[in-house]
Amino acid sequence: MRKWVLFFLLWPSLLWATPDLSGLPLLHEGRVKPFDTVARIYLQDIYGQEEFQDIPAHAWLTQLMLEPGTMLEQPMIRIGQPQVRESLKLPERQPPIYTYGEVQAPLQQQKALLTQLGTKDRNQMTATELGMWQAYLAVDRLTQFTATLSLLLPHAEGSFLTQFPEMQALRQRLQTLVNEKGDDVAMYSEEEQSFALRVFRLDTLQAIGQDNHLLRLIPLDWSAEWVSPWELVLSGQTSPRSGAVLQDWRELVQAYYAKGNITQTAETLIADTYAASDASPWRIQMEMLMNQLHLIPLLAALYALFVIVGIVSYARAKPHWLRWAERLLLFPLIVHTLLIAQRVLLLGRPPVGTLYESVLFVGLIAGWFGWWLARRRVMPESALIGGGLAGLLLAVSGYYAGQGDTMTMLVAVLNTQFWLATHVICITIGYGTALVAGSIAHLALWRPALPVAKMLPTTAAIALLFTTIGTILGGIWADQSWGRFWGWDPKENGALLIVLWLAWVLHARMTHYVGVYGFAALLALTNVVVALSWFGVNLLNVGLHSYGFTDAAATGLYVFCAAELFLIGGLYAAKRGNPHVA
Amino acid sequence: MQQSGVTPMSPKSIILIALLALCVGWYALDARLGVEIPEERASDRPLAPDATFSVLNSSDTLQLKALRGRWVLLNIWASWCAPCKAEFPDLVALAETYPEALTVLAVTTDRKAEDAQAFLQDLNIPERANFIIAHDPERRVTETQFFTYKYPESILIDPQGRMQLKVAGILSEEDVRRITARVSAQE
Repeated sequence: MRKWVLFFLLWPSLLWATPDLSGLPLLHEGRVKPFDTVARIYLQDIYGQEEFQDIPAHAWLTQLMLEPGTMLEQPMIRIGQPQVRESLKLPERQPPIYTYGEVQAPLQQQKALLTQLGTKDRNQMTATELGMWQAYLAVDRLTQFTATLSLLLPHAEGSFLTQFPEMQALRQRLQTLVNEKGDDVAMYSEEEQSFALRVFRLDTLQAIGQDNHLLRLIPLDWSAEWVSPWELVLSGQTSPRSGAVLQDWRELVQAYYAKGNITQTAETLIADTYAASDASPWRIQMEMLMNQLHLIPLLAALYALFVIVGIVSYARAKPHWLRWAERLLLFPLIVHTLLIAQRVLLLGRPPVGTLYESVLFVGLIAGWFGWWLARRRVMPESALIGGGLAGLLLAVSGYYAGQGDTMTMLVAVLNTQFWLATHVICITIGYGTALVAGSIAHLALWRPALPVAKMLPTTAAIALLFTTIGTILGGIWADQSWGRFWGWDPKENGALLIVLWLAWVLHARMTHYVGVYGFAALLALTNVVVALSWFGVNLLNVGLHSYGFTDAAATGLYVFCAAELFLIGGLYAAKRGNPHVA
Repeated sequence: MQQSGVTPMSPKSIILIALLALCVGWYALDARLGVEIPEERASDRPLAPDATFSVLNSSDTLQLKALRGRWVLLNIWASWCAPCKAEFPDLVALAETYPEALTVLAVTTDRKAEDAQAFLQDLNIPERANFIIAHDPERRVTETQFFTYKYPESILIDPQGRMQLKVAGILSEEDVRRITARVSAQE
């Protein structure tokens, strides 16, 4: 207890980090995020880890921007697929990580394929095509990062920015020179050659810089937009506030090259960026804290600990251990709740906008529902079931997080706050409670004498209530968003399927159409129905709810359904064949 | 099932601990931030910097603040810039249309005053009280206070000193209409 209190009191100390660019706000994929988050996302994509050779992601990105030449010589592009390595004629090595130059040169030879892939839906790509596309994206992103500050980096004649105001005059002078002496540089004097080279270098920098949009570091005064330093300068949309931010970047570059230290300039830059924007400092700080806390692995460890204690206490028939396990479940549940709460606060919307988020949320609901049933003293096993389900779903969510949990903003139609809050939360609570009901039914099939079996109709009714309300609210949402209440969309049909299934199972029991075992077996099958409705419809890759699905996830779903059918069928057959059970 | 001797944590104590943790967290966030956010935010129009310009071919200086109470069209130009030359007649026309309400402050960044003078003579710009030519040869004001990198650039400043509009590049007909509409509305 004391340790628990200490943990909660001490976590804010994590906020005092070394001053660097990690807390700099920038606009990325429709949301203002800390520099640290953006760096982690891209480093994970390119290098496959959240640290680069023991340096944190934000320092990696900072160095890429400030010292592009040196950084690009280091291997940092992970090409995991042998077929892609073969296509690009890359030498085999372990780990399969290559330099920018090694990947960029052979990619130039694949222009036709890349152009074709650029127009292809990612879900339709083969594994090799996807690997090739990811290699291209890695190179493209590194090009973008290294060009972000290229207008400020020092050159012999000064930075691009110091020369930019006179670019027109310089070009005119070069044009006069070409008119006089032609375009053969050999005819020029040494000074003229140097001048022509200078203008050529400036033009090349500008040509690369004008496509630089990835890191939107500077908020505009004239609109709510954020732009890259290149965009700001080339569009001429500077103002005293955005200009001050650009000036801070200039000073940061100068400080880095003069002293190799950006501590003080980074603090000023962050303060000026906040002052020039509507970025919320507490949201940025909270996201950074969450990045540092690594809550998901902690949560996974806590659930695993709970499940081990629970199973051991159950197997060794130690009821008081089970009570301890029930208390232990509170730790992961609170961490899980904090995790979801921070997503709500950061995104400003309910935590169920993507498949990944819904998996996390359903896990939380299942955990709390199981814990709540256990607290009612009727069936302590339900805590084990709820917690186990929460842990299992967390593991499933890991698959989706591996594809990049960037806390993205949703497409407009999915981002309608009120209907998302009511419909999707209701339906996911329905999924969570239905999964708990289905899992308890497994236990009831295995040990029918347990008090847990008596609660089956109640748990099924709770699940039915939430799925029914959620489905109706879904119709109202569809009416608001798409102008029709019901469109036989696969996801809508899936939700209706759970409602009809639960209603049928409950009625079958009430009318004694099925017995105790039949009821438990049918209710246990709810897990299969929920899995098909929740994940299965995405297999169809059609409809307005389609979020994308992959072969690996499909295989997982098939295996789960087959295992469930086998297990439930086996338990049911065993009970029906045993005359001694009650 | 046998009850254990340990008393379970009550929901009240759980809520209390959670609230306490939140309060400490909030305090820490506040303390860590230390960033003073000015009241003026991006949603407002930015205040023009209090710049001081040297008047071309004169030892006089002009403070932008001194023009408060009138609209100011700040135009930044250079003699080598062809679009600057093309838009100059529009600036003159605006100054002629609003002699009381608008001052055009045309700031040249030419290193040599003679180049700017030749440019003006070429265009035969008439002398007007509300058309002032300033000179910023080192680009101290234009670059460090207005952050102008692209020529020409026009900034419309309202009588309260706020930058209402900025046009990077040559003024289009639509831009001139927008300027006219704003100045006429508050003439």
